[in-house]
Amino acid sequence: MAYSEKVIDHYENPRNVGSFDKDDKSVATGMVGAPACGDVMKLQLKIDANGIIEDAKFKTYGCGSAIASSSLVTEWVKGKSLEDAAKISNTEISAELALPPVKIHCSILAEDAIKAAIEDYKSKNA
Amino acid sequence: MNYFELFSLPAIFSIDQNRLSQTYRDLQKQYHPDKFAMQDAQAKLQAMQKSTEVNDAFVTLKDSCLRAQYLLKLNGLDIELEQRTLQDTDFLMQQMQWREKISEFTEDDEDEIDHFNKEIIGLVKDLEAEIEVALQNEQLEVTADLVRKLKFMLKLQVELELLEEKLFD
Repeated sequence: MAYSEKVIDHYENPRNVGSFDKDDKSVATGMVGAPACGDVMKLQLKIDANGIIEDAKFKTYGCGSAIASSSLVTEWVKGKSLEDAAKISNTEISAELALPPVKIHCSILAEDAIKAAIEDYKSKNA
Repeated sequence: MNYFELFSLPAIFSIDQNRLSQTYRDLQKQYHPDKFAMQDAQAKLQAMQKSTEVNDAFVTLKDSCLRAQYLLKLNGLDIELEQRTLQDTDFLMQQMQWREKISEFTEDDEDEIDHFNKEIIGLVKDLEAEIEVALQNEQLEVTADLVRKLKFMLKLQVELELLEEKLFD
């Protein structure tokens, strides 16, 4: 299976790899895994006082498509409100990266990671 | 006819592996193409299809994860092609720590890798035992969740094997 140029770019030069302190109240952490392939993804968002995502980091153990999907998402969420970030869908991610049907679950993983992170933030700051 | 019936085995998780292998050899002989060399095209085709089915069944029944998944399917819960994600934070956090650990091993860590390998094998066995109990109690959703976790553990084992090949072969 051939990866698209965008996947290869994100895979070779992943953006925003790393971690924030998950106990920090302004940090939202989303942990998700895909049973189909055993990939694990951690997405963290740093949220400012106005509820805007000021920074994002990820750590993914998985295939090139999973790494590219999470790397792309960290770029997309920056500057967005939580509400707008929650609207990012797996179809947008897979279209941007030209993922083949067998790799759609990687984009679902990234979408669910954003949602899980937002849930984490809400429960932390409830 | 389902795979268990094809192999004359009870449709349970803990099947007799020796009997599985023996029946596989018997069935392979029974449907071997040589036996159908003198027969018409229809009989040849049927034997070939049966032989393929026997192979598929053997692969499925031999592997604990595929076997559990197949039992779920027979009970009406098909998780084989599901795209849903797992969101058990503690479990995934642990997975991530283990993957990190694997990525940091070097060729000096042979004993530690061996120890870690044994730990994972033990945990896989524990999970399999839990799957057996859940299936006996017909807790399909519980079983499905355990099977999903088993897949992450198996992936971990594959990663460990690849690492060992890279470091020591």
